[in-house]
Amino acid sequence: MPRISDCEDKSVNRPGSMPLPNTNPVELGMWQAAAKGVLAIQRCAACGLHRYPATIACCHCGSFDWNWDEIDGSGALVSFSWLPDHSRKDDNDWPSSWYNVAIVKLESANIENAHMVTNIVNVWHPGELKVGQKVRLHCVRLNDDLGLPCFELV
Amino acid sequence: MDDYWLRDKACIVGIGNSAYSKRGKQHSEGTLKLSLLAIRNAAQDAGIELGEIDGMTTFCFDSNTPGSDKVMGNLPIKHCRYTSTVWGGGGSGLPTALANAAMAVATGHANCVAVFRSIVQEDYRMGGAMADLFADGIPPSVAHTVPFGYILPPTIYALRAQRHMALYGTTTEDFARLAIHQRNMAMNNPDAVLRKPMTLEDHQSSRMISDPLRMFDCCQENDGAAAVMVMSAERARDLDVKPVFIHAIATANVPGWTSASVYSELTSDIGTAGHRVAANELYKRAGLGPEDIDVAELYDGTSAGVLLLLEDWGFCGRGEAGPFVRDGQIGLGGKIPTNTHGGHLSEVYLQGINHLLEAVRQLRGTSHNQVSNAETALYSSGVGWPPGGGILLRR
Repeated sequence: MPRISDCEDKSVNRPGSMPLPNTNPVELGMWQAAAKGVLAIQRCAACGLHRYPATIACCHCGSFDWNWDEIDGSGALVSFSWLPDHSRKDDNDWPSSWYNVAIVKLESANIENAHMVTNIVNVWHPGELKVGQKVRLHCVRLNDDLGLPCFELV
Repeated sequence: MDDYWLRDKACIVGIGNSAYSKRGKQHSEGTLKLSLLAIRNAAQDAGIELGEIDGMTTFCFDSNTPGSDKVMGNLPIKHCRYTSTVWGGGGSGLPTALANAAMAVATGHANCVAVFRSIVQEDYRMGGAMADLFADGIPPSVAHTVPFGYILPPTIYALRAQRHMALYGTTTEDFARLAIHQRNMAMNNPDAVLRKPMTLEDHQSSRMISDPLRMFDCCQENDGAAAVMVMSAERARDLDVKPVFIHAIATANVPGWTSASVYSELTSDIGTAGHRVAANELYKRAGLGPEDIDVAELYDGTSAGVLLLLEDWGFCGRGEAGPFVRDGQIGLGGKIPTNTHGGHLSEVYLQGINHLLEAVRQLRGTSHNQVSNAETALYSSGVGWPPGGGILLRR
């Protein structure tokens, strides 16, 4: 099966060996938007509120109707953790074979606590990340159709 | 909720467990046999025949514990009146499973309900090569985390620990002190799997798992099973054993906690364990406050999680858990003796049910680290998939 390590963008410290994202209707639009460098999340057609992560019905009002909404990719770093990437056994040195998992608060979403799990890319030393830092969208292309909404420091 | 109907109507009359061991040591026994051994021992402890059991409940989110129906078929049960399985994240299901048992016996729906949990981690490892588990697609609850490499359970806690450190100045040494305290407790507990002394240096030099959490911050991987026997307070009067009353249970989530995400990261404050609403509700139902609790057995997926729970349940103020642990307030002579069996870190990883057994031992006065004259004990589930919450027992 295809792995993310096969992705075209080699300029970032992302984990290898992860499976490609799901392509079901409630998720596909976000990964497709990321392949074009855009952040898209679900917006309820009934109550107008954003929601994340993806669901078939609105967690605010229960409606099944929704649209993809392209929003500005500015955010703030809520928290992060650095992890060793065991798929790169040839080089376990900190930090070149380590990656981070981060929670970013999306500032353009119209709900509170729009927390997105992501990676902060283009950071190469653990000391570079601090809670509260401003971040912006930096999508990582996986293939022609799919990408990941990652972020980088402003 | 001032008039909490279930208060003291049901009680735990028996506790039992299989042998506890390192992962793989009891693989040939399997979860079914380990569950049966735990249930047999709990029945024996209660002084009842296996045939008196007429209900069974468990909690899980994977194939690591057999369903109640499979277990029932291996016991000489006359009338099966009640079975259920609470599906949730790890130990988060235990308060609801115990509530199910308590409600079943208190209403007269069943007479004697066994609550059990088993684990054999040869086949299924928390945070092992989990990427391979997703060959057939990623489950919806983790679809937004797995592509980013968020698959290890310790990372759930690491993200909270990092936030707590940034907001309040908590240090990794505070986490170490918690882990060392629990190891010290385990050293007096013959059932505990890890009983070798742990030093601050041992902790700080252990392998980094998910920064800031190291190997010695994380729970073990084990094989084992444990069970408790639940009966109505009325029926328990006929037994020789001294009952431990289920005083109150609460499982309310904080807003944003019940989300499509298994890791509940949509909560307003990532630096908590998400149990503040459950704590308020539990204390209200119990008519008690944190100052009335004599001993706390708190779910320790990692050391850092216990610090967050100490704050959520009101044993210290928000952000104060670091100094609270540093001052020895979780020790036997402290404000709230905590995880007196050694917890998941040092006794055994059993998704919280081993904590419940220790709470019962404390109230019976039979713990290996006995808190003198303990009358009330709190169990809390950890950070994870709802419904989580707390159980308040009293003697």
